[in-house]
Amino acid sequence: MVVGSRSVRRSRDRVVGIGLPGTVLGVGLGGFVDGILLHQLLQWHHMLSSSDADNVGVPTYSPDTVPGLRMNTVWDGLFHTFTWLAVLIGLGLLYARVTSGRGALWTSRALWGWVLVGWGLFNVVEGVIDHHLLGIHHVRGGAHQLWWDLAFLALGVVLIVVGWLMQRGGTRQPASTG
Amino acid sequence: MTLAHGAHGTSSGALVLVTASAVVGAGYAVLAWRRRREPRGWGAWRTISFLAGIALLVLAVLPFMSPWPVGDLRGHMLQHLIIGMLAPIGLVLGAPLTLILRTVPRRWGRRIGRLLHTRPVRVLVHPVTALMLTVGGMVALYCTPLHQVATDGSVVHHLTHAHLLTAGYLFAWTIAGPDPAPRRPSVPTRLVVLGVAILAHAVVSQLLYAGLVGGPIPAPERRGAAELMYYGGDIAEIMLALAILTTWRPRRGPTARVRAAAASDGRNVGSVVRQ
Repeated sequence: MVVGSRSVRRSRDRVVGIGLPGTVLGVGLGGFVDGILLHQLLQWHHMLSSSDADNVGVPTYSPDTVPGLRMNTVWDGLFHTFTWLAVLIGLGLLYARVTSGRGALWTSRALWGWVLVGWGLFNVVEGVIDHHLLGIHHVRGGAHQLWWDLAFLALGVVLIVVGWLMQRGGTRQPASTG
Repeated sequence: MTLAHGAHGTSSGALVLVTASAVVGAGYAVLAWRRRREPRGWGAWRTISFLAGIALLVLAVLPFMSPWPVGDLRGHMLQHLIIGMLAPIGLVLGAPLTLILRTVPRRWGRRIGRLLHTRPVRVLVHPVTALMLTVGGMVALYCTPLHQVATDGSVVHHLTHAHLLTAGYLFAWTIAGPDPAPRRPSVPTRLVVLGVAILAHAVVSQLLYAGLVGGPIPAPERRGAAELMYYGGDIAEIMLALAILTTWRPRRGPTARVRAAAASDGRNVGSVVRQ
């Protein structure tokens, strides 16, 4: 990353090549939306809150019992670690990739577009694996849980599309000026 | 009665803090207003950020703002979150040091720059020192009987708040501040230090939740406080992580915009303090 900073000519490329860091950052931030909003504020689900009806034979851990809540909390802790690593690694990669004009990056459409893509990706991957394949928890357990899970996936797809369009608009700009 | 700590702020200590905050906030506003009328200007967001930090501080120490009864651990936790984490981010992003450096005569700026480069200050303003101060304060507060002492004695209580604010400010400044700092480590190093702080914060809040630390406190109160600490801490730390993104500077600024940004950020200090 030090070598890159020596190159002055790269300045125009500053929005190119931030796809990976922006997406990783977005995955982390998306995880926080899920973790803080759904787990904590709304208390819709915990990591293993549907483990009584899962598809892979995870023992039942009801969040209403003390050991069950502890297990759920452990898994929430692992999830917490994952989201934080994604945020910090995303920022680190971003710093390594973008070697100049960092001050302007904060307001660039490309970055926030990729962050939205990452958020959407988080929803889709987390949704498919945890809600549909493993079935260890649902967005909102109950009679209509399939609809909530599908809405979660749909939100993910919308975020990816919107983010993708946003970052495309962002890269076009410097290409035309430089 | 007025000195009873439990009353949280009707004490003279809180009055002093509110007055001091108001004076500092007003001073900042006056200087920012003057700089704003100069050609180089002064960013409105900086002023907003700093004054928001001041407002948070005042809200945190006013007794009637807490939604919980007096002496409740959740009320203390919210207070500590605001004083030690949220308010410092606002204050630091207001770049008060840069404002001072632009206000004072150039030779004073040089003197401040030299002061920043003396060994004690350099050691103090290092992310690892700030990390130890802020994490150490947190561990001392929740993992030792200090918390009981601090809630009983008014002086200890205010000293605790002073420590939280100072350590929190120092940490936010070295990690993400727009203000110049002597020999500030690279962004990757700062991200690692931030990661360690996040880990320590999560671990202490989990220990508190489990009742392994914190002393004899009713379970619902203790768990509520631990959850506030866990998730409130996350929110503050995300803000700090994103603040790095807004304040990191390129090591070389080839574009005009970057050059302008660099110039506006420390003409007085550029020769003395390198980021």
